[in-house]
Amino acid sequence: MKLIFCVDKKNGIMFFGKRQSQDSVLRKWIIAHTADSKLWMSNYSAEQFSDLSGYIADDDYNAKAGKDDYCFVENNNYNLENVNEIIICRWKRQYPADLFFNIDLKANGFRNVRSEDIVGSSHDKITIEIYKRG
Amino acid sequence: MKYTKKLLALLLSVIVLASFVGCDLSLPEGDSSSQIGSSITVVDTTSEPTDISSDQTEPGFTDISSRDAGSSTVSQKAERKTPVVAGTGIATAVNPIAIPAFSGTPYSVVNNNQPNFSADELTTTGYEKYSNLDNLGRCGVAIASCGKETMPGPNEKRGSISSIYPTGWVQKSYSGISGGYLWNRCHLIGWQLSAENANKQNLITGTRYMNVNGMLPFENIVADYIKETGNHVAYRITPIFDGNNLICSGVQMEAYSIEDKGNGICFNVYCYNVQPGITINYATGDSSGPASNTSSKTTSTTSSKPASETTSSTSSVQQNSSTVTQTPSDEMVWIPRTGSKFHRNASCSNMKDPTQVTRQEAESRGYEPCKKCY
Repeated sequence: MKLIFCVDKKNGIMFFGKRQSQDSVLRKWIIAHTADSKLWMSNYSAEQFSDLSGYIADDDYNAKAGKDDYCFVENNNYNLENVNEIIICRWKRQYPADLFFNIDLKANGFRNVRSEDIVGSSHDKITIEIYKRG
Repeated sequence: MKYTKKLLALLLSVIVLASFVGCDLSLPEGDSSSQIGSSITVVDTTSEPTDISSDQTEPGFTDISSRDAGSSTVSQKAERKTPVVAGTGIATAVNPIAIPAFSGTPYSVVNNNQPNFSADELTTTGYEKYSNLDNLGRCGVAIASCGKETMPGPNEKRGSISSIYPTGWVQKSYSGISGGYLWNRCHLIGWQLSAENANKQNLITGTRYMNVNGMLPFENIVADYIKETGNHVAYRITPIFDGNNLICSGVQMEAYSIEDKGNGICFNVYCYNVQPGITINYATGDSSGPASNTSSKTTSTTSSKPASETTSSTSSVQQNSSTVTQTPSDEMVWIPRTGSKFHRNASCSNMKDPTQVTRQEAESRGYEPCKKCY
């Protein structure tokens, strides 16, 4: 399983049940990057992808996603045991947060294999980091 | 049997017909009582919205209407579909006593994070209203409907705010504080939302910690939401002063995204006007701490009234007033279109079309000082 997160400068993800930010250019990047696999997400996440196709909205995606499938994680739990790749999309801003990305990548055997910056529709820069395990 | 069946069918038809006549069968045009969360309710689908940017300014407020009349007109049309109330619709400033004591987190959630805006305040016409200063020279509530029309234009440069001395401005430098100085001139409605520069009704004396760790993340989340969606956000900032203190104890921040009825933005928080490790005299703005530098580079004032009219503590502050120096947060720097460093020199590193911002803004946006310039 491959997980995709969006985090701010302090590794925040959400505040009081709402995502911190969103960007239409990043959404298109995610759809394009996962085009050859299945992309799962919660119904809450799917709201922001509603003008696009190429994803599966299902709150139970953790149980249903296959080994090579991608999961866009906002408000759902995940089981790190089955994860072989993590993509972190970093906003270059600090937002309020009470839900954080707290995976110790190094301790869990993930190494950075690629980083790239994209210019978003409302963010000057979004840094995308890809980590693979093993 | 045959007649009995016909009689029963006739009787049934009469009953059904009678029920149709007695009921309104038309479908509702919209759900006028849907609930969003626990306390946000759509309550009115018929009343006309009130244009807060009109000349009917309330006493004690300065009204800054939308900068983009064209957008306002379009927005007003959309507004008629969404006359709603968020929360009770009655603004109630928090009582600091009811707020948990500061315990290392820069903000605390108020009212289960639900803001209170009236229907009039939930307008998709951009506007800003600032309270007149009180008799101690202190800022009051600032409220706005923030949209792209209230935000800085694409090429708009941030201006200097160093000519404003909010109440309690007794500047002092401490090692260990980002930027070096305790006090920031904190916008109530941030520049990125209002494009307001040296507006004394919009600037308070706030700690670096409250400005950067408390208020700025909430400004950022609102600003980026507006940039991304083009929607409007009802936004109210209330500085909370205890008695005649010149420094506010904290700032209440409320926001509610209008077009999507709070789905994107909805918060009600209190930001603590504290600086960890520093003891603050909220009556005067004086401060002390173990990391205090011996020389205070900036000391200034405060009130819109002459010293003789102010309280003794204010007078004391004014007697200490002397020179004014530009703090690092007021320093104007250049940021490139690409790259992660800010520069003192606009031509450094062959920057093309750099943007000038305050050092504080550059740092808050993640830029670091260029080693050649600094």
